[in-house]
Amino acid sequence: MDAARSVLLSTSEARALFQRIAGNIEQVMRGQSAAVRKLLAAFASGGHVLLEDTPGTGKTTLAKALAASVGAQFTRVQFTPDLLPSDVLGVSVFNQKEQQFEFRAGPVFTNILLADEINRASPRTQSALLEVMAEQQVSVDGRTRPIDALFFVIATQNPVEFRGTYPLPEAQMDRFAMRLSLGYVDAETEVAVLEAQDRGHPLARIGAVASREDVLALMDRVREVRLANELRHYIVEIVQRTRGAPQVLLGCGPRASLALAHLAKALALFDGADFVRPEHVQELAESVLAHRLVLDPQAKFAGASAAALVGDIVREVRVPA
Amino acid sequence: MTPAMKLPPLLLGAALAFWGLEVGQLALGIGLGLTLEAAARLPWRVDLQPASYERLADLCTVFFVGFIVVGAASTDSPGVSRSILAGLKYLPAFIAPIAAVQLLSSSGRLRLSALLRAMRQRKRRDPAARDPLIDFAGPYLAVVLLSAGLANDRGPLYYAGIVVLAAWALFALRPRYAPIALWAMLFATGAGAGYAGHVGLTRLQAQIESWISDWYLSGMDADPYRSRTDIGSIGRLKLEDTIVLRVYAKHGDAARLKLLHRASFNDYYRTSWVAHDAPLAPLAPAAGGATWRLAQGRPVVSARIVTRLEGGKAVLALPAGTLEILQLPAETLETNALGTVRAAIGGEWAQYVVDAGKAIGDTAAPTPADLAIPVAERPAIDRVSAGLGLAGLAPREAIRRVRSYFASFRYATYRNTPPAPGMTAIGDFLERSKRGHCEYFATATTLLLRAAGVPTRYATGFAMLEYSTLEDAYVVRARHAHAWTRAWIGGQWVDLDTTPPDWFGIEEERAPLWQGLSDLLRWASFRWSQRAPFEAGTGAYVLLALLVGILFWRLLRGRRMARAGSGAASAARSWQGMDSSFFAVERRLTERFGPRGASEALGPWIARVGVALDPSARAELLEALELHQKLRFDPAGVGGDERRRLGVLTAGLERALRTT
Amino acid sequence: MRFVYFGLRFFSAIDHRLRQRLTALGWIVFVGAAIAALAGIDTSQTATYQAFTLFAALLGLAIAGSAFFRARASIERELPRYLTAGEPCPYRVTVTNRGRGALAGASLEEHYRDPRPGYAEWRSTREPGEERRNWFDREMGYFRWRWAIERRIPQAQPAVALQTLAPGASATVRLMLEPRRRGRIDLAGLTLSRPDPLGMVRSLRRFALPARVIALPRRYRLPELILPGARKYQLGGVSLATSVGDSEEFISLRDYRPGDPLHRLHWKSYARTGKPIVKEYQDEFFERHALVLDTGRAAGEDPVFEDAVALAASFVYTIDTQECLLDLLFVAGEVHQYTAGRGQLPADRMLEILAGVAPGPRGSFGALAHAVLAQRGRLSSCILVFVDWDDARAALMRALAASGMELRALLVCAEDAVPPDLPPGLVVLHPGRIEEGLSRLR
Repeated sequence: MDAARSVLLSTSEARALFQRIAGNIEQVMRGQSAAVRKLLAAFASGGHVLLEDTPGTGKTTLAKALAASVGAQFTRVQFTPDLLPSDVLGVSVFNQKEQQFEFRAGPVFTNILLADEINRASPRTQSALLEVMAEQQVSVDGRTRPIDALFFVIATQNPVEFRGTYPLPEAQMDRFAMRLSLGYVDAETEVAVLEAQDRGHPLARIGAVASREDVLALMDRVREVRLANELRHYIVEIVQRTRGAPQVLLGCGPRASLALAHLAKALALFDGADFVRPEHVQELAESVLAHRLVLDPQAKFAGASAAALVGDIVREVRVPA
Repeated sequence: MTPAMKLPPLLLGAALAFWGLEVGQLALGIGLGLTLEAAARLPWRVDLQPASYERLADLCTVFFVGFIVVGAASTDSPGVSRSILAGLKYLPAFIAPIAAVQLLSSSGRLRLSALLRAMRQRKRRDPAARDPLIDFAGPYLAVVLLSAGLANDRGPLYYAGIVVLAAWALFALRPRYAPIALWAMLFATGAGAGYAGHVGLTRLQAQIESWISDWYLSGMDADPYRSRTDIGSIGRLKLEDTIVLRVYAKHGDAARLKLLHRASFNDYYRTSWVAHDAPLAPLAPAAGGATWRLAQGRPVVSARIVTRLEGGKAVLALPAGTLEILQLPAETLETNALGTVRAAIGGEWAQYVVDAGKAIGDTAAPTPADLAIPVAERPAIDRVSAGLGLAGLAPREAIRRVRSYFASFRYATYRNTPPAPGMTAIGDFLERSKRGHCEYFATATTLLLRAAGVPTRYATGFAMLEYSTLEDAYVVRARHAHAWTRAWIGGQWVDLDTTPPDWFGIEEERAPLWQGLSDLLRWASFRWSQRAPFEAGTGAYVLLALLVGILFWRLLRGRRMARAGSGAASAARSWQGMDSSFFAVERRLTERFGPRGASEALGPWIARVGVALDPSARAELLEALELHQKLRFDPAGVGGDERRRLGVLTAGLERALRTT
Repeated sequence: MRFVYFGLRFFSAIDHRLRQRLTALGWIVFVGAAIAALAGIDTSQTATYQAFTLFAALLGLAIAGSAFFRARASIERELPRYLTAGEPCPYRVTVTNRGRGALAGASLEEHYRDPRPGYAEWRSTREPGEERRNWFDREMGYFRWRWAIERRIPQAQPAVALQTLAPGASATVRLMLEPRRRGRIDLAGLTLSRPDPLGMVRSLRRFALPARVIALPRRYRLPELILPGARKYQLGGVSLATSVGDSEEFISLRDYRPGDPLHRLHWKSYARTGKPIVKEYQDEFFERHALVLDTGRAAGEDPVFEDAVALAASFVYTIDTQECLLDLLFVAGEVHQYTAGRGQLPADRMLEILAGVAPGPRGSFGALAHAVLAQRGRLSSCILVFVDWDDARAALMRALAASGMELRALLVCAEDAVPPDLPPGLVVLHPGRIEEGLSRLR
């Protein structure tokens, strides 16, 4: 399809590309380098990201900064309670002039989709994204329409206990490669953020530093990163332990192992390595696995949290050295 | 609290051996120590049901309490509080089974409720009540060390022992972060301060005791060691009606036994009678160790006397003419030239049998000291002596005159009143008041006869005048303390009592109304103290063996045997690069910085501990790590050059880490 | 009385201080020294006074040695939102060494806001079951004092050891919280402690990090509960739920009227007819259940009351509020009513409310009964949890049964205090044997 894609990027080129995008985003998102690093790893591995945090921590800004850094098509959907699946995917509308149905493509036909406040829409609308996220295609009215090879969903949501929200169904959760939370930055960084805003929003000043083709090349390169068999076992052991934990109603499936392996490769490439190290797996485990776990409600009320559970498992499993 | 408090191996065994040495049961101590150490090392573990723990703890308590009760109840009991102390001395042996069972269990802990009954009851009421697992070994070690101290070893061994054992335990349990030198310095300071402290403490107590004894003059004993008595020391005794002696004798012999002598004195100085030149010397017992011969002669009276002891010792009350003391298993028996006999026996009561002859044979012949009249008393004595015309009279006549002279005197109970100014107590008694208690009569008689040229001594003891039908014995109370004169007449000592005979009646009037009741109680407690000594006959041993048997049967019933330490065999697979030479570097780093957690990846760990290394070593370390990880986790593997480079780097790092 | 109060305050402060400062080893040495002093009071009788001086000297040095502990660190805590009374819950704490030297040998534990009650509170509150204590205990109030302290702080937990932290390094450890009872727990911060070089006395460094967690009431497993009842029209309310649930029940198509949302246009009909047609949906019909918690308990927070709250929590937890509405009614000063389900309060918020329920005066039941009866028209069923029994309660039960709704009534009472003449259908439960009794609930 593209001439540039026939030649693989070198490790250092890939690393430089990562650094460029990360540097660009960090002009806008200060003090979040760890989150940016994981976000880009997910982006380069083709996994979708769910940003979950309290309002005002910069979820939307981060998504927009990523979109602005890549010269690709970007759309944003604000999820509301009355949003219907057709509002997202598109609808066949009857054209009276031509006396025939024509498909009006919804906002999912894009490269980067920001699904803002995804848990405010009803579970039906949320589920509309299932197919497109997993298979990069949309089936409406019996016709299946493919989506561009670069397709990345970045959804944001508020923590579920707020009034008038609908928690994402488990199947939907599993479609997200990782869940990230940004958290509050320290006081110093927050002052710097205020200062930066004096001269207008920094988001307006940044431009694209990578093209759609660059990103596709990067995604190809991620697939070439090597993963030792020993680390595959390590990943599987961590994932399997989530199924056996007593507080867990529903553990992580093989999709989780797959995502963890793939993201670890991207993260290794981010660090300029050709192969995955155990610390990459450890760094990602919580973000990749926690949101897929369904805890026993009894355990949830007793203070158990999925993130803590995954953290504990990582601490229990013997790491290859 | 720190949950893990593992005592070092052999410490408990050593402590028990030390305890055995201190309490004089070395074999028991070593045996217990070996048992406990073996229990900790056995390859299999025995886990008891909670109920078995409780039974065991209860049984240990029962044995221990029984031991104390038997100790307190036996004849040679040193008193309840001392029996408890003596029992506590053996506490480590009684609770050793609890420690052993804990050491044998797989958890190495005990439920607190196993030890505390109250806790068990609380748990029964409220099953949710907290019942923590405790480690009994630490408290047990403390009990062993303290019990060893109850043996009261006055030498330096006890302190040295606890210092060594405490150092052993504390060193093993010391926090690892602190340098050993600092720990050693602190402990040495503590041991030194403890030594200085306990030496100071002993001195302090000695000082306090000397202050107290100056202020509180114990008057019960005519203390021959200090060889001294005061006018009034017997008078004060007359205020008490405690029974101090019981004499079992035939009624016909009562007259001979009327005066029970304890100590005589030859030198009067101011108001005190002092035993001059009469040191106490130990007497060797006859064969058997319980018979002491004081004089030769043919016995005419015999009596059994039970005396109360003060601090395990007593100056014995003996009838005049005592020849032999029988059935007295005293540790030592000392006598002096003045006929004083002191015995060290132990316990609260002592009893002995006395054989007495006709003449007083256990005292030395008179010396010039027996004729001395102190200068202060001389004017009054001379005046009275001149008035009676004593000079030059035959002894018997002189005695008759003195006796008749005192017949006009009146007996008065003890009053602590100073004499008239310018007069001595005796002068006042002789020339002005003409009334007083026995000490005045005895002193004045003694000195007057000396003025007449008759050698005399001042004798103290008890008068045996009261017969108790309740006890079927003559009882002698503190109130019956008495003083009289011993005079040398016709080549032998004769007891001479010039106190008006109505003194006894006058004193008796002072007996409290409730004396009958208190006598009953005294008799009961005396009977209790005199019951037959507890002897562990074969029956008792059979019973004990039976109890131990039951204990083990109950323990082993419901036990759960478990072999210790069968770790899950980890499915060891061989992965690429497991032969990396970097692992040797990791071992070196572990030695220096502590182990890496099982879940801590090598990269972050090296970053963490590498901070402490110098920059060049750190750079090499990071390079080696990079190569190692490539070797381990890159399926493409490493080339020969890289492999060699890793070898060079790790060898250098190993050297560098070993030297620094 | 104030004297007693200050005495209790003083001694609990000393006790607290000793417990915090002494390690297990320190306790053994401390108690050993005390016993050695007692046994060796007469230095000529036993030699234990030597042990006393050794132990005392070592303790003294340990106290002096514990004065040298400087720890500069920043601490972050990831607290869970909810705990459950009586269930231990782990949480993570990250410690970062901000000092210039390594932080070695330290351990970490939580400390709580001073739990000692004020004078007025100590005088006025009554410990459950206090009337059974003897006169002296009642007057001195020691047990009440202990109860008041213990209900505020969770079960004590051992301090967790930290690995050695190089300057700038950080470590994550797992601490435990085990609330003794439901309600709020005020955490004051974390304490870094380290034993002195002899290992007997801890030095403490406190890091203020106030936080608050809520311990939810204990819950029981309820038997499979079928709450039948007619769905009833719910006036207004529930507006957020208009596009889910029953409202999807499609009734008919009708002509477009200005104001209809565009996405209700039925394009297929539009294509056929050439004029805008919209879809019409059915109104909201829900089941609505009331959960009535009787708080009129004069005896205070005794096991009966606590079990009643636990039962109410179990119902809130078990009834699936995705499908229905659940009203919780209880009295705290006035009648409170909270509604969960269908976009209203989530169940955990309701449990949070139950965590804070306190017993009220016995007479407050009248208002509660009135409030329940006032809304019987829209209720499908009603669950009553009683902590006491009298005519007013019997009357409420009769009135609700007469209105034809499904009724579940439970009475929690001590085994030796079952009231006579209980109506059929009332399930009687005893503290300590709740689950046994629940099996009779249908």
